[in-house]
Amino acid sequence: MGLVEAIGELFRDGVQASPARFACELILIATLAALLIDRLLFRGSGVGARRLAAVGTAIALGVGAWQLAGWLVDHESSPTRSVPLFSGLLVFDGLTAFIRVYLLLFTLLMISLTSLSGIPDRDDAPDFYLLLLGSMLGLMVLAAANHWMIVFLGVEMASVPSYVLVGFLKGRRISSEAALKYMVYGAGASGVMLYGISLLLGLLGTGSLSEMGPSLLGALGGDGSLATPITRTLILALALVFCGIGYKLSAVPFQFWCPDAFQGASAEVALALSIASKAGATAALIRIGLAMIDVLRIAPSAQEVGTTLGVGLAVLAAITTTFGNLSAFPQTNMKRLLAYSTIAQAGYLLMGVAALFVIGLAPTASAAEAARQATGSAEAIEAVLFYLCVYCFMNLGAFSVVVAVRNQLFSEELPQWAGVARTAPGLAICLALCLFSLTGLPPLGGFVAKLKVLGSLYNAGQYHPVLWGVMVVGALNTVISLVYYLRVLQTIFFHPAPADAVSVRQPLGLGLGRFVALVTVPVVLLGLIVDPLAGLLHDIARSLIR
Amino acid sequence: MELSSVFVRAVASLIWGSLGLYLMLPRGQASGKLGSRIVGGLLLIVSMILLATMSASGDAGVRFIYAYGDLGWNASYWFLAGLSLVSAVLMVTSRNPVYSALWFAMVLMSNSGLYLLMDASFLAAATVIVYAGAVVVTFLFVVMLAQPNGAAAYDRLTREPFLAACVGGLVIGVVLLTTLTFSAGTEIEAAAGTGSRRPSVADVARVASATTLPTKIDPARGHVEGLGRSLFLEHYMSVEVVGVLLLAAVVGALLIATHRVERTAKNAT
Repeated sequence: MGLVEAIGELFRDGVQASPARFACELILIATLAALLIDRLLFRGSGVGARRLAAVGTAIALGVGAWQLAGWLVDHESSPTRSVPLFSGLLVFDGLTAFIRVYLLLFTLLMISLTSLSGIPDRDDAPDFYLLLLGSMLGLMVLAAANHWMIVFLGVEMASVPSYVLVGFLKGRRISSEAALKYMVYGAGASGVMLYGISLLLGLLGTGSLSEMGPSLLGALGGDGSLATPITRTLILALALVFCGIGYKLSAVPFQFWCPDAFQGASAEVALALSIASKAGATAALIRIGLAMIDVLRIAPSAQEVGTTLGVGLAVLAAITTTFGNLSAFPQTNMKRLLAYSTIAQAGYLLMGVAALFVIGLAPTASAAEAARQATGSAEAIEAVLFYLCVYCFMNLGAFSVVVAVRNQLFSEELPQWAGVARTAPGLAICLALCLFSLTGLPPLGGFVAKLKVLGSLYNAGQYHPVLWGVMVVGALNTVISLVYYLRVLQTIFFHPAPADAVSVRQPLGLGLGRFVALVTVPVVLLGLIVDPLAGLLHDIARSLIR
Repeated sequence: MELSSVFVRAVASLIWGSLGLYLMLPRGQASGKLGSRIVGGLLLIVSMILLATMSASGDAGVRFIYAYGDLGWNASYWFLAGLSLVSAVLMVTSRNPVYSALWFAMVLMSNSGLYLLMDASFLAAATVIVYAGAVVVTFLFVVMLAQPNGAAAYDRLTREPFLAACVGGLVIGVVLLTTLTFSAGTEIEAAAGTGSRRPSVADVARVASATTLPTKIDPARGHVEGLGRSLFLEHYMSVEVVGVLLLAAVVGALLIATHRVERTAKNAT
């Protein structure tokens, strides 16, 4: 085969547009290369890694936003669900475009936070940003995955740089220990995930998510009850795959790394772990859910598989939330407390995904029923994406307050923080807003997000009553979480400062304070003005459900 | 050549070889003498020539090396075989573990060249990927991570050079004798009966698999070509993603490997 012929074959599926639709990732890769060259040639004297990374991310974000807008316009004129990229390994649709923008926006905020907080220092900056962008690249690929191999590679690519990021504060024992724990746990989880993927490939004969349906139909041959070995193997394989994704999501029982890694890593890295990897993993779960909906449309005999998966996820989500909230009670280290809080938040994300599974994979009796199901599934996806958006800002707010206080107090221990509100009232108020939003108090963004997720759970309960139970657990958990968030605020606002304490001064108009204010504003705004974002997410969610 | 004389030559070459290796192995002060290393190197060369003449004589009892056919094939064969042996010796005798790892990579590269000559292209590719790629890079990482301040004494020096050379010679001797007796006992020349074509590993595999495996593979297109097409047409995105993943991993490893303690003072809270 000649070269020309080979190149022709590359494009035989009519996806000449692949590289253009992959532009964000390509720009990030170019930025990675530029960072390496900068480090190699102009060590310490070049443009500066931070600026390079920021410019690269900003360009990618611009392209991503433009693509998202283009997708919206195209979608209104001709609703296409998805465009396969690169011989069907990746897929470009509303979810891909949205998660890209989400991750890139987060990365940009991360870069500005790190430039304000001074971690990493100038010498480490090229490595730090290279790893950060590499990790984001992995998550973007993961969110666009349409093939099990890419799902695995995306998880790996997101994980490998973050192992190093966690251990970035070298020489600190606790940091190295955290990195080691994180890595060993991650290696185990991805090994298990790979095993699940190999089972799936063996069972279905294809790794493509969109081709699962026909081959499953062939394998099942009409009998889809749980008694057949094939359905059992399918459930086992998907459960094993979930190990890898649940690890990125820090869902119970894969959450063990989370508190240690957060406490050991710098607050900036913990922030990246808490938001970006959860967003990527959630997007991957939504993708798997959508693929399963397609599968069941073609092979309806596998209905029980879907319900089992959905209910399993819901129960796991309830346990995750409860575990996270209960474990956060006795914590005195702010990062550790927030780590448990993110586990609880992951539970809520998982609840939304579980609702998608249960609604989308329920048996369809009539056309009216099918339409109702499609609406319900779309609402579940919308709820999860909305939750992700709010979660991004409220976690950014909480962690950037930790960063700001740490930079002056040199402590992340809660007792040391006593009385911070007296000298830095702005910071304390922003922290209070973020924590109340994390709890889910009205009128903040977190309230709307939780309401949407619990609403989907209520819908899902009509298909399987267990989901109603999960909804009640979710609602009760907001009360539990309020207690420990209030304890933090009580310490900051009402406890007298220790006698030898340095007083924290951080007006909101300066440096980190401005950043904290900047990310807290959306937390409030998203609670008051819901419709624009919700409308966008609704369009995206509707387009995903055929 | 009679079988017994083959054995004699084999044993002789092994003894010379072990002795040469013994002289070349790095030791405390003694190995500083250039003379003994030169003698050792010469002895190794002698042993290699002994082995070479043994097989080049075209005796029916020595089939482990094929010396048929055209000059180009023979030339490549001898070049690669020699390179492989020389690199192997340098691998065990060099003092710097990094050099050892690199020589090891060289051994594997020349071995995979030999596989290519025998038409076993998949084996060649797999050798490069698995060994030269993964194992050697891992070696280098380990060396980098474990010994940032240079190699420790126990890595640079041989503690029991004599025993090491003896054991090495013994192991190779057993392998060699097994090969010799096996090939002397069975006429694997049968494969050559198909014509002037050189028998290849692929031929043997094809005969062996014809009875057990359904022939899914397009015979006009080799295994490796099929693999390559799948990898670089359907899955080329994955290949690229793995490339970036490895890049990030290398940067991470370098970051961990370099020691910077002063960083801790600033962030020690």
